[in-house]
Amino acid sequence: MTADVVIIGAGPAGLSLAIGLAQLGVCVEIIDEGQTAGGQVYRAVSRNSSNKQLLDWLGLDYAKGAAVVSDAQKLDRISWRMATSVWDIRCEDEGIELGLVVDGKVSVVKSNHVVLATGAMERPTPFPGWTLPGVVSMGAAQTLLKDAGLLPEDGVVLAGQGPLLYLFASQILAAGVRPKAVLDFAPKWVAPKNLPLLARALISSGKMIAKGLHLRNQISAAGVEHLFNVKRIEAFGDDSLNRVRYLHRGVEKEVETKLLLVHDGVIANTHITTAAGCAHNWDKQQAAWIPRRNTLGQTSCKNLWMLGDGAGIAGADAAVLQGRIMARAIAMKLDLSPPYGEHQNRADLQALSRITILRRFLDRQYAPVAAFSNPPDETMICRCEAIKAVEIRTLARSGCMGPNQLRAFSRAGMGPCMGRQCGGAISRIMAAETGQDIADIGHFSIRTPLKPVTLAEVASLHKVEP
Amino acid sequence: MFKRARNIQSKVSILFDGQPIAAEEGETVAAALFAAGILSFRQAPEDDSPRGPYCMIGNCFECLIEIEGLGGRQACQTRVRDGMVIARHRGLATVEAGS
Ligand code: FES
Repeated sequence: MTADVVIIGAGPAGLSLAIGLAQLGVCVEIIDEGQTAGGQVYRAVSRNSSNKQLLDWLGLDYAKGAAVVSDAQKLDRISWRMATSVWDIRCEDEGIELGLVVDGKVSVVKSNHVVLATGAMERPTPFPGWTLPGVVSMGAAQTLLKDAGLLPEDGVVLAGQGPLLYLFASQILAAGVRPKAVLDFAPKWVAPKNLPLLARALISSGKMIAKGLHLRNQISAAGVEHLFNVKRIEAFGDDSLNRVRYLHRGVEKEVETKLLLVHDGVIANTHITTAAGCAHNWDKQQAAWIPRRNTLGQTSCKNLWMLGDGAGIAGADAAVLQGRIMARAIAMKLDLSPPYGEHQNRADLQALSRITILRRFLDRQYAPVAAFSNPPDETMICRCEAIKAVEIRTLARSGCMGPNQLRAFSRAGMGPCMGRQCGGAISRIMAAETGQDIADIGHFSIRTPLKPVTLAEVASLHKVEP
Repeated sequence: MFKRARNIQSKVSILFDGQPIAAEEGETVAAALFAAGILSFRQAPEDDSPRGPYCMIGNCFECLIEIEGLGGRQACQTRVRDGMVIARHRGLATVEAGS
């Protein structure tokens, strides 16, 4: 491979870093699963740039992604491998080896410097009935809107909590969709204990908070029922969803719907860093595992760097700042003069710390929903292998030594998704059941292939590209 | 259920369990089936429960479906092609190449 640096992920973090490095003369290659650059947040943004109506619905924070994407596309020191999945990653002393698959074809490339900008995923939301077709994550619905121009039909029910709930509600309201109800698990008001964090966030990012409130207010302003402090949901149906039961103010109620969109915040997607063998910390504030990094952004694996939401949730604006800051760090490592002056760097760091202060408040205000963190016994935890919460609890109580042993005993986490959806829940349930700290319980180890490849294809690999 | 925000601009046709379905060129198989009102893509091999796409970003593997005779393909990561033959997935969720 001729590139000096390989970046995995074409979202705002990866793009911003690539731009910074390319401007310095560093040759960069970007690998991404998507058809087009932008990651999840700016998904299909260049393709949508002529669709004014869709851009209006999605809002300026989406539309501005087009500039980041086109800035990167203008630079010929950036090369692109789109629609390409990474199925293997090996960090050796001599460099990092990546197994790639594109359209069923497998190859292996080597690089001395690999940066992961692999982003976030939604925190899975196990509750009784969540495997029914018609129960879909809110991020998925937003992806369908950006990528395929699909809207939920009138009568959709939105449940869960977090900034994306308010953003997506406002986006579909703008498109004229009439949701039946918003079942908000968050309280309407900020709890007194969170007020100091709110005060600091207001000083650093008052505008952002005003914007969030404005989005939230649109739900009731549109005449849509917006219930706060919902405690539980349960989905019912035969072949697909037909009603949702929920607990609100101590009363159980039901609402009929064919589509339930659920969200409980986003977490770093640690699948690839776990497979690479990076060390992770349990981050109490974000209630998630995040890869351990030094101040420059290097993981515990040699020559493997990481930035963006995959290293801890901070959002798209922070990702762009992190990209510039890291471009500077890598440039200095490669003995090049940094792309941005000291002055710009200081401004970026300050902007980043303002976002961090806001994030602290958001993480606390939208701490994971208790009903999803420790769901009732009958809830499917491992969707692939159909393992319920009760089985996880029974194994935890009978002395199972952590998630990896539990996986061997129960098959939970051995299905096609390889624990992406159940890993977090299993660690949490084991911790709750045994009274241990989740940091001590640990997490699944992940083995490659990270993506479906056949043995025949792997066997056909005979040469490594230089 | 989902609806299209605007009419199909560049139409292709796919077959789902023998039924022709109109789709937008370049969209994912999952989006095309959702737009046609199909939410259930397969039966879970462990308990026969109906399943359909959940995450749309390639993480959950709930959208596994049979495409052109190959089982275990991720519908949310596969783009439609004119004439593509798709079938509801039954049996084991073994995963094949190229998803
Ligand atoms: S819908 Fe989750 S992997 Fe396709």
